[in-house]
Amino acid sequence: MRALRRARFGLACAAILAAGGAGIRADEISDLFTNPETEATAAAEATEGSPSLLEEYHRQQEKFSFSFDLTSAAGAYLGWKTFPTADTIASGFSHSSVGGVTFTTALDIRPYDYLRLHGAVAIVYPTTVNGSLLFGATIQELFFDYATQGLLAVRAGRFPVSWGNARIIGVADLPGRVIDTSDLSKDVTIQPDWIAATKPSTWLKAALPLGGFSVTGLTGFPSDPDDLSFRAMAYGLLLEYQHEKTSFGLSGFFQRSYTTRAALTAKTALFGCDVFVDGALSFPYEATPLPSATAGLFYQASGGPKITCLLELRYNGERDAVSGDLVPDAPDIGGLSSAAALSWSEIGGSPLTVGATWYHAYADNSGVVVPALSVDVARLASIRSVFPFAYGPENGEYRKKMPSESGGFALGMGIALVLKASF
Amino acid sequence: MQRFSLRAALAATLLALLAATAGGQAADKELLRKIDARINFMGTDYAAEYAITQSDPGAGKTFTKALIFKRDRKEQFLALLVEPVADKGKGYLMVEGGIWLYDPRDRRFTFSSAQDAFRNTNARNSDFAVSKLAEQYRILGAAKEKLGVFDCDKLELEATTNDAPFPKRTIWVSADGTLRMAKDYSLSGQLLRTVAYQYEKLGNREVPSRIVMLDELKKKLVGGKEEKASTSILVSKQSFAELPDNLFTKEYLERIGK
Repeated sequence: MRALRRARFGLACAAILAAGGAGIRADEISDLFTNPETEATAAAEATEGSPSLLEEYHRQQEKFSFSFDLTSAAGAYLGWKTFPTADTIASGFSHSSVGGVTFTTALDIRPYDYLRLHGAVAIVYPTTVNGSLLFGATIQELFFDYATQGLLAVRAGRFPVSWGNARIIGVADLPGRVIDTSDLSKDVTIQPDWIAATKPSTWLKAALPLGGFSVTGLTGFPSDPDDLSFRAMAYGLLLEYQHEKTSFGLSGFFQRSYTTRAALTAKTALFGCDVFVDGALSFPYEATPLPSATAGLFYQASGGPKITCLLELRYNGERDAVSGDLVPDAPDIGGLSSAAALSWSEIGGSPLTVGATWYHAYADNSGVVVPALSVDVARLASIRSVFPFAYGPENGEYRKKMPSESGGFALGMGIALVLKASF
Repeated sequence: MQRFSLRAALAATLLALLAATAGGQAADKELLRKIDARINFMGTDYAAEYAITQSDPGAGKTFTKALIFKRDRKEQFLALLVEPVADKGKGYLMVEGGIWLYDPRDRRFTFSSAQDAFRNTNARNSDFAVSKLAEQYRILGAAKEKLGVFDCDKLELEATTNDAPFPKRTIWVSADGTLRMAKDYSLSGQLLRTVAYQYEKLGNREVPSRIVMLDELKKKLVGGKEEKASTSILVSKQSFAELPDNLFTKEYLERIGK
């Protein structure tokens, strides 16, 4: 038997070398070219009556599970909230502390593979209520998932919904634009939050995928507790079609007291990048429809260095024809604007992560650049820092609406020690 | 009359040559179709657990475990990551020819190309998709060659479509049409990777039980010996049991994720 194996090994080596693979390690692959009948015993695992791999996977998923996340941070922003001049360099210098503790507990109940109940509650300290610092508790998520025998999937409860392809300055995230979402984010970290987190609200969502087509219906519960009628609810419909690397979406959304909107989105992949164009039309009451659009690129390395980057360019034409002001529920920055973000984590296997966000409004050439640096100093601890730098006129769009990671500082730095634990 | 005969003879020769070429091309396509048929699971669904060990010279090993579900007749697959824990819930979903990567952390789907690497390994997403050799390649040359105990046809392939995983490939196919080894090349002819397959019987057909991939570009001298980055995939728990339709949907990935 050993002689037979040796002969096979020799044959394999000779064959590989003959195949021109001088660089191939014969010991890696030569053993693979043996007679299948001699090693074909493992297939017995797939005997009739035994649970399938999928059933086994569903069984292994915990029926009832808790998870806890604790984030604690302490730090400060230092610098100037308006760009300093020779006269204000001393008097304009200021600082503000950042930090706090967030304790999040999540619950998952999966009695069957077609049913799931999920909830997450965050307890945050400090939360300011009437000038007092208190513990605040919020339900981040509470929903159930139900899948029918066919393809229909339903999710109901409190959860985030995001439509459209843009991640920073989108126009087609219609549910995110019109529903009244309370700001639950009490993020104590100061790292760039360049992938905008979608805020949760109370929804009923039903999705029906049919091959390349899918239909998603969405209903939002009234945001006004004094009016719980059907008329006060939000309604949305999203039709999507995908073929190979290209997908299209057509959506519409209606909610009383908000501007009705429709959006058309397209995304494809070119040279490993997601390339997208999102367009939206808003229909103000008794006025001409107002267009807006975002085009962008998103790249996430599938191998090698852990690099993610994003570039978005937006035209926001949702201005009132008479006053010239943005309509009340329009995106923040009017006209042409752009946003870019980059992060490169674990550089060369080190605990170092660098990144940056850049925002620019072309109407007044105002903008903000926020480079960021993060170092993991221990298994659960990291030091994070950002260096905001704003430019353009003092009353420019981005000088008035600074991104959250700048801490409201036009020039300066923010630094914090962040401790994170999950259990 | 003589000139006519000469013309007729030339035309007949040309026609015969064309017919022979066309016949040869048809035979080539048929051979590639036969290989595709041995790789793909057109008559049934397919599920398996892939234990993937990536060895990078001088950088140690990483381990990934993925559950692979395939419905080749509809060109659908789902690769669900279960290890490492940090990647649990991530999934690659192929529907209608497009591959989506779902990340439960930001609950977003991004496109992934078939040519992209699978989780920092030498495997490509295309390795899990339906094999389309007959559609994507033509045979440039063929030779007989022995590979271990197998008498193989060594086929030189050239891509005829842009969506082919590699511009050029050389494959070794045993007499029954089973793919035993492949060498994948860039357009310039640079050898990129070598892939070898071992099979086992499941029911009345052979299925891969072990796949080894060598990265021909990522090399390093370790202890005076040249080492290449390699990926070893152990395939287990294989099954042809029917899978539910809703497995190959984005909603399934959202439901099983965090």
